[in-house]
Amino acid sequence: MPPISPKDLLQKNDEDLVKLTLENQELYLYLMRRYEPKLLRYILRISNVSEAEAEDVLQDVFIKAFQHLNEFDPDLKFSSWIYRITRNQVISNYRKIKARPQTVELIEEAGTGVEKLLSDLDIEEALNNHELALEVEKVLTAMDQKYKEVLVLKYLEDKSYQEISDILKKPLGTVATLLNRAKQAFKKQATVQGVNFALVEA
Amino acid sequence: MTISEKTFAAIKEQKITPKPRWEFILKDSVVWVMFSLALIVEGMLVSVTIFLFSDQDWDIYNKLEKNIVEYALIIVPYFWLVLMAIFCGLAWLNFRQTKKGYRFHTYLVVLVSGVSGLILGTTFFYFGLGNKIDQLFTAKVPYYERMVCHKSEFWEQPKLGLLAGEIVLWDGPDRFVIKDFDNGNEWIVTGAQVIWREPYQPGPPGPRRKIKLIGSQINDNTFRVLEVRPWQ
Repeated sequence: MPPISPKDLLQKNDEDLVKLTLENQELYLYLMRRYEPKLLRYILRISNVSEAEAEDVLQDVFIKAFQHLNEFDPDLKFSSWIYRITRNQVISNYRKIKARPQTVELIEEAGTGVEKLLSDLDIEEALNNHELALEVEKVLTAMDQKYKEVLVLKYLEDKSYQEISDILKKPLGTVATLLNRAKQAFKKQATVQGVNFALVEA
Repeated sequence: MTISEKTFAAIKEQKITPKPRWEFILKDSVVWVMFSLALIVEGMLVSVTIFLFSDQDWDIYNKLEKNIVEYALIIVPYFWLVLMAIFCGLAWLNFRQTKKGYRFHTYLVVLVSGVSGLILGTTFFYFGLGNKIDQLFTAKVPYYERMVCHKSEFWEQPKLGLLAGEIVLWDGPDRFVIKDFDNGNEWIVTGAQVIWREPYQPGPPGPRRKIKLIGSQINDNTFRVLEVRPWQ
């Protein structure tokens, strides 16, 4: 097989890169680099662990994914597959250490994800970006894990319904229901927490 | 050093390699085989259930001084229904473990598994498997007879006008002798214009012909018959 230039590798999609990695394991580094920031952020958002612990979890995720590369089903998106492994690893890590909630900055800045979440909930953004991020984070942290993770995937990780279904291993219909309930739970939690959102009257 | 680089170094240092593809194919195949087995067993259980239902006479509840609902509740084969539910659940669990099993709703999987079990069960029943399984359990499984209601329980009550046995002496369709299944007592059976149900026709009895009789008990060894049905 002729050597592939780093530039070419960067242009390859994930699924092609998996095939190439199975032929040349050195290329796994490229896949890991692609997902390192996204998965680290995802772990922090759904787990309440410290950054150092999140890094350990991520390392385990990468090793597990590498060992299971032959199991990857090309009918799925690679990102869904590795997000699923990450979620499972977070759950397994939680069971192992019984992590207590810690103060971790889930959302550094209110980006388009937060804006979309609030807009879907008919919430006006009466706050500046940083304050808004803190408030959303406060509500998310207090929410039930099953609702929190679906909101994180939809709005902060910008995943489609199909991707969320593949990550959580739940049928599409269940994802839609879960998301609706999560939005209701978010509104309710915001009220309970006394978070300063300006709710738009229907 | 980034996490990716650290991980990559760890992979090299510990000589970690991807697990071979055949391991995953084997794992997936085992799940599908388990799912198929659960469906086949479910089909077998359905075939016994159909057999037990079809082997009962649904029009004798009056003779037993019960209404149709009470009668139905007695003859429901709970033992097999519970096993069916367990295997339907096992089929669902195995299907959930397949690669894309999670994409389907539980109710859909249970429905498809139930319908497949029904189709398989009907086919097995058609080929006589339900009857064979029931006979096997009757012969080999202790307490099985107590757990499942068989027709013999109803047809061994001459006082209620229900009798079953084997013809031992033939004098014509309105007069013959049978040996009952319960105690092996011999009964003189008489009647006038006795109705013989299909597919059993009156005629000289062959060896060990088994029949069910509806009528009334006259005395300890005489039974007045109105209708004769084949045992099977």
